[in-house]
Amino acid sequence: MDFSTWTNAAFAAVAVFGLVLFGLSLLALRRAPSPRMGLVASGFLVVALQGIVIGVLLFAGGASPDLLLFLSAVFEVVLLVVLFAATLVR
Amino acid sequence: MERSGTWAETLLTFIQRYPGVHLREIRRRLGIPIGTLDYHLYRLGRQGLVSVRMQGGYKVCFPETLIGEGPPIPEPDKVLIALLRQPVPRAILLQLYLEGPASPQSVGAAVGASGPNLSYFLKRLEALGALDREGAPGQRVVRLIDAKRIHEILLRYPPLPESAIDRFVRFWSELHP
Repeated sequence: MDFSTWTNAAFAAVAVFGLVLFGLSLLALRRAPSPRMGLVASGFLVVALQGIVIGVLLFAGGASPDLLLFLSAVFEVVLLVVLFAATLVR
Repeated sequence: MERSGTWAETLLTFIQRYPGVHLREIRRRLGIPIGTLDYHLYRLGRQGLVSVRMQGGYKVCFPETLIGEGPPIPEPDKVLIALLRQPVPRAILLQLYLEGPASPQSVGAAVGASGPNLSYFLKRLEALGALDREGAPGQRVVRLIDAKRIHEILLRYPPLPESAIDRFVRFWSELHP
């Protein structure tokens, strides 16, 4: 396999694990409703979205590496902000 | 999905393993529909294999026969065992057993219980003869009345294992500066 195939597979894995953890966090939110758990669920949703969006763009082709990197960085920033807020929520 | 023919067996084994378990917890852990659960509990009760009682607003279930050669659960212990299915009273007794007598405040801090919640469970445990509180207000000390009995109960009736969701909730809930 060439490098681009591995990249596709890596983002597919991000999407799958992100969705699994998002599902788990929704169950946790139902069990213990709280702003913290809501933020954690949002964080995992962002991870899943990152995997899906970047994965689809990679698979479709045509997107420039700069755009993919920029989008990936935006998702990372949003994720870190959400997890930062989740950690600080009392 | 569990086959209906094995529900009764699964239910009986679960209640034998975790005496005093709350009905709601059984439904959550085993995923039995409430109608099916009620039906099998009724049948197991008629056969003299389990008993269901109300305690603290919850329906709790006890086996009439234990797994193996264990003696039947003494009646006075049943109320305490059902109470210990909740994490806070269990943590209080464990803390007092491991660390010895302590002020209510330090017990509360150790088990992560708030004032009213802690006070409620201390009163319940005191009423059940598990602990007593000595000293003037402000200088009270809580201690186990019979540490050996509490040790046996804590060991013989372990808590329900945490599910993946329980662990997930606990991990994220404990994160704060």
